[in-house]
Amino acid sequence: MIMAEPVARNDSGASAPVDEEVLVKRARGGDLEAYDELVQRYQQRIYATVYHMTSNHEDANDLAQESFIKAFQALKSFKGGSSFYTWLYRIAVNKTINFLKQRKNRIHMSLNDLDFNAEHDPDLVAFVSDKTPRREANLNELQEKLNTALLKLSEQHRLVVVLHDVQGLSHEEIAKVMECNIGTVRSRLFYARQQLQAWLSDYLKPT
Amino acid sequence: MNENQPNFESLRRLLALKRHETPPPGYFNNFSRQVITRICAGETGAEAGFSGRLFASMPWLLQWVQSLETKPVFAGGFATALCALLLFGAVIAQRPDSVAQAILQPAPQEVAPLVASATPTTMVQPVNPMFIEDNSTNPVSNFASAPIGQMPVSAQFASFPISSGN
Repeated sequence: MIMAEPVARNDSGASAPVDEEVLVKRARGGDLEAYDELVQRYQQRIYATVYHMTSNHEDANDLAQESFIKAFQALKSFKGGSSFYTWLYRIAVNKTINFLKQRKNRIHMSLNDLDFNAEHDPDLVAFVSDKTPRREANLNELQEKLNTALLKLSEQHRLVVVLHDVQGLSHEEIAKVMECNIGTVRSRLFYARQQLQAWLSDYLKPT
Repeated sequence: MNENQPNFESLRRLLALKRHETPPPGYFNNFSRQVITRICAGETGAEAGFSGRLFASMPWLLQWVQSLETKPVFAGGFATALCALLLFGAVIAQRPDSVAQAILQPAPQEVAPLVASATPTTMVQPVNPMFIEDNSTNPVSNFASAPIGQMPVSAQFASFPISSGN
């Protein structure tokens, strides 16, 4: 099972060649090379979070880029009270939620293709061949149903599911990003999973 | 206890499918470059320069703008108020003509008594009755058409009682 890495780690998984704090300080002074390094470190996660929230590649592309631009402009207000990544995440999440509120009821999906590994993921293969009553279901159909169900959730509930069950963030990290307490995160996660389970019951029940 | 707790394991495994949704190959090769290019091009630089300072000095303004973006009811109310203001302005802009006509027409009747009570030495002297039409609406013509002999020649303090209607 693929698990997302802890928040403070590099996207590539390698140890950071330059300390994040140093890069932030240089970027704050207007050093675009340093900021480019920061963007490269976190681009995949920020993009993925926004994409899973919107289920639309084009929107995710715009929002992710705008989040990085906004973060650069607001770097001077970054006090260092949280990690740069948490702060950046917060900007992206807020921007995405605002976008979704504006686009309410006018959301359309533009899904990315599944990568090659999906067909070989044992969990997913089991869903298609063994555990799904609708045996004609394929991965693309599952993908569409899953995204449709996610879009039915409220932004806050969807965000918790995306951050925890897709991105692999801990409850504590999610609470920091969403600026709420851990109990709220847990209750939202529980409710969101219940909703998803009900909507996707045809694809989850064993035969 | 466990029997009462819903088992979300199947759901969590299904959600793993989301991690296999990836953007087109090579997408991230240019991502950071695009971000830096947009920053350099100042696409939002001017906005950050001016509005950034503006919002920093007036946080309530930022909240207000964000409310416009996120709350359709608020935005609709604001737009309605703006339209009402424009309509009011348009109505007011048309009114001066009618007001001016209303002022001009009764002017001869109202001005005459004012003039009669005035001491017109300084007013009469520059007026040449030869050049003033009798049917003119200019209040001076009524005054100037008065017999010269009835006009006082000494300078006195002039007072103009103004009616409340004007």
